[in-house]
Amino acid sequence: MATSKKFDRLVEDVLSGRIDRRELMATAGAMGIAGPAALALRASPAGAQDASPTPRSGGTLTAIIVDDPNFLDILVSQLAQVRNIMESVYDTLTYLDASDPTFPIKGRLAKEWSYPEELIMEIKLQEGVTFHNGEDFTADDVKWTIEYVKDPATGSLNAAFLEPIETVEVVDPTTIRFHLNKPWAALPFNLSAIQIYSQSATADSIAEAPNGTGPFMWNEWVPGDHISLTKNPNYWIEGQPYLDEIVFRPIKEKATSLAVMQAGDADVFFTPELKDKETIENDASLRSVPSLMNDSGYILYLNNNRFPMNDQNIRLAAQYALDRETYFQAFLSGLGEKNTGMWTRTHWAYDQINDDDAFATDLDKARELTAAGYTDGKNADGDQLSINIVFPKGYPEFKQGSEMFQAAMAELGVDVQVEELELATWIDRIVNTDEYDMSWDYHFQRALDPAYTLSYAFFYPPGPQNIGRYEDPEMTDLIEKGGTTLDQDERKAFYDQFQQRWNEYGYGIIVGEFPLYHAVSQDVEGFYTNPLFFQDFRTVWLNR
Amino acid sequence: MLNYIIRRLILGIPVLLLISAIVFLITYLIPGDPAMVVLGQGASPEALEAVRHRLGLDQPVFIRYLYWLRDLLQGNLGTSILSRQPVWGLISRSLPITLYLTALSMLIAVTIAIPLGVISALRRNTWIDVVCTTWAFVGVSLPGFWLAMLVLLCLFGVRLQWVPLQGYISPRDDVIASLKTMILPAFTLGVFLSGPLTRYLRSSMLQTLSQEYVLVARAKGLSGPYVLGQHILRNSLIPFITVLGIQFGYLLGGAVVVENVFALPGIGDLSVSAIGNRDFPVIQGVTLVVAVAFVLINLLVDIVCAMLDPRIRSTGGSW
Repeated sequence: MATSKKFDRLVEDVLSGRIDRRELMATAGAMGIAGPAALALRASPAGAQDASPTPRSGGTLTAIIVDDPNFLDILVSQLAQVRNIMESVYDTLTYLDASDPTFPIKGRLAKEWSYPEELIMEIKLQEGVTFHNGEDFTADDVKWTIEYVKDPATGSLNAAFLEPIETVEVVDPTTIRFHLNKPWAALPFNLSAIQIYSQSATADSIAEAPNGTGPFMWNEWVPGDHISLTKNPNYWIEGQPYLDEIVFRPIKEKATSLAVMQAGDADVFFTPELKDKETIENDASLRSVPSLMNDSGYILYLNNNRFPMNDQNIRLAAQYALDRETYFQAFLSGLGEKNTGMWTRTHWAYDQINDDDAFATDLDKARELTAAGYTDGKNADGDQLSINIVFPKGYPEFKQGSEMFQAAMAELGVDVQVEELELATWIDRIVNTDEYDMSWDYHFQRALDPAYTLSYAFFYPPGPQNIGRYEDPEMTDLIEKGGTTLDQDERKAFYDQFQQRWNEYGYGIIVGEFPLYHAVSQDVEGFYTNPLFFQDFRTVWLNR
Repeated sequence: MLNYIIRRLILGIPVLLLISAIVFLITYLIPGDPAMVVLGQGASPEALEAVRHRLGLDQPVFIRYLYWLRDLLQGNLGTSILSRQPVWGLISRSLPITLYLTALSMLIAVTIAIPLGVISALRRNTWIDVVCTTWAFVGVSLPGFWLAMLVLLCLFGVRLQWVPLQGYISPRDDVIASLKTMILPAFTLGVFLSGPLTRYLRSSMLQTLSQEYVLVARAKGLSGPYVLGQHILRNSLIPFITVLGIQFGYLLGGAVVVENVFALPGIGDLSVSAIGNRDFPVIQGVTLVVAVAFVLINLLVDIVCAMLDPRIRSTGGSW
C-alpha cells in the first residue's frame, strides 16, 4: 500500500512536470520498478486508487463550464465548452482512451476496421444502436455525417481531417467503406473527432434539438443558468452510463467556480487556473485530475511575413532570449516544463534534439544574432528593429511571459511593445490583418498522431490557417511523407528531419508543455481528463 | 403634469433610435464576428464564409439593421445568432434577476446611507462625523471584486457555509433560499453605493441646515424631530434621489462584476456573453431595453422630486 502511494505521488510529479523522466527512472529504479511500469500502474484504475469500489448507478452530477456553449453544432464549433457537453450526446466511430497514458485509439461505433486494399478503409459498425429519437443507427448515418462535414457549405474545420476520404460507400447497414485518395496513417485518429449525426438531421435540429446515439440525451437549456442532459436508458453499451443526469452550470469567473467547488455545490470544474492546483489538492473534499498525457503547451507564433521576423537571425535571437525555465517556474508555479518540440516527451515521434540544451536561454548568443547586420538597432535599409507581441486578455502567464521577454530584449537594445487584446480583436490581428510580430497561444495536439497534429495545427503551412505565414516546401514535403507512410520507424525519420529543420530556421517558438487538468470532488469516480476536451462521462459515477 | 409625461415619453423615441443605431454601428466596427468566435483562430476564410452564410451574416450591415428595425416595429426583438434563443426570452429571464438585485442593493444602500448621512451632518466635525465619512470613503474605495470574492464569497460561502453557492434561485420557488443567494451580491453593491449616497446626503443636509427657514422653524418652537423630518431631510433628499435614480439606471445596465462573481444570470452577465460572442441581436435587444429603463427612471426621478418639492410642482406646467 505504502509503495503504491509513493508511486502515485511519483507519477503525479512526472505528469505535472515537477520532476523529469530521468528522475522518475532513477527513483522508480530505486523502488524496484521500471519507470514505464510506474506509468502503466497509474493508468489502471486499480492502481490509481487503493481499492476500486464497484460503480453505482444514479445521481446528478453538476459540472461548471466557463460560459454557455452557444453554437451546438459540435462538428463546427471549436469551443471547449461545446465539446465537453456535446461529447456526451453523440458517439464517434473511434475514440482516444484518456484512461490510458499512451492515449491509444479504440473503436466505439466502429466495431473494427481494416484496409482490404491500400486505398480502401472498411469499417464494421456496432449493431443494435439507436438514436435518442428512436431511429436506428446505420451506415447511412455515417455516410451522411462524413458528407456533411466535407461539404464546404457546412464550414467545418474538421473537413481537414477527412480530406483523404474521396467517397463513402454503404456496403450494407453495418458496413461502410471509405475510398481514399492517399494512404493516411492518421485516419483512425481523425475519425475520433467526428461525432455521428442522424441522416435525418437538419440545420435547425442540430442547433436546437441535438439527436445522437450517445450516453446522455439533450434535455433542457436555460441560457446563463444551466444545461441538463439526462441518461439515455437505451444506451447500447451495457450498464452505461451510471449517472441519471448531468447539469452544466456556466460560471465565467474562475475564482467563483473554485469557491463553488470548495463549498461542495458542484462536482466537476473544467480547467481551473494552474495557480489554483495547490489549493485544490490541499482541499480534502477535492482532487485535481491531470490528463495522463500532456496534449497542451505554449507557442509563440512568429510573423515570418514581415520585418523583423522575416529575418532568421532575429527569430533565433528571440528563441534564445526567451527564458522558458523561468516562464514555467515563476508564472505557472512550476507546472509544466520546457519542450521545444511539437510532441510530448512520451510520444513516439518526440526527438531528443528538443531536450534540455535546445534553445537554452543565452542572451550573449541572442546579442550576437541581433548584432549581425544591425547598427544602433537599424538594418541596412534603415528599418528600426522593434517587435510587438500580442495575446488575448485573461491569460496572466502570457502577460508575464511577454514582460519578461520585453526586459530581456531591452538588454539587447531591442524595443518590444506588449499588447493585451480582447479575444476577437486578437484573432483578427493574427488571422486577418498582418499586424503582429509575435503572438502567444496554446499549442495543442502534442499527444496525437503527428499527421493529425501537422495537418490540423494553425502554424504549419498545410494547416487550415498558417498563422506564422512562412513558406518552406521542404517542410511541407516532410509533413506529406510522414502522413502517407504507414511504417512507424520510417515515419519517425521524416518527423525527426522536420523537427531539426524547424529548430534550424526557427519559424515559431515552441515554449513547452503542461498537463491539462480538471478539478472534481472526491466522490466523483471513473473520471479521466480528456486532453482534447472531449470529456467522457460514460464511466463516471458518484460514490456517495 | 400628464402632458409633460407624455411629451417626455415621445421625446424618448428618437433617443432610443439613435442609441440603437450607434450600438449597431459600434458592434459592426469592432473586429471579430460570431463566425470567428465559433471557429476560433484556426479558421480558413472559406469556412468563415460558410459559417457566416449559415448564420445570416453575409448581408450588408445596413440591410441587417433595417431588418432588425422592421422586426422591432412588429414587437419582435429577434433571435440570438448562435444559440437561436428568442432575444426577448433571454431578456425577460435575466432582467427580473437584475431588477431584484438592484432593488435589494438599493434598499441596503439607503438603509445605510440615510442614517449615516443625517447623523454626520447633525454632528458635524465630531468623531461620529469622522466615523461616518470614513465609512463612506471606504465604501467607495473598496474594490467590488475584492469585497465580493475574498470577504463575502470565501468567508460566508466557503468557510462558514451560511449561504449556498448553487446559483440563482427564483423567489417564486423559495423565498428564503432566494434571499440567501442574493444577500451577498446585494450587500457588495449596497456597501459600494452607500458611500456616495452618504456623502451626497451629508453635504445636502449641511446646506439645508444653514438655510434661514430652518432657523425660522426652530424659532417658531417646532420640535426638533419635526424640523428634521419636514424641513431639513425633505429638502435635502432632492439631490439624493437624483443620484439614487442615476445609480439605479446604471445597475439595470448590469452590475457586470458582481453578477459575474456571484454567477447571477442577470442582464450584465447576458451582455458580457453577447458582446464576447458578437451576438448582434442580443446586444441590440439588451441595449434597447436598458435604454428604455433609463429613460423611464429619469422620468420617475423628476416626478418624485416634484412631489417632494412644491416649488418644482408649481412650475411643472411650464416645463
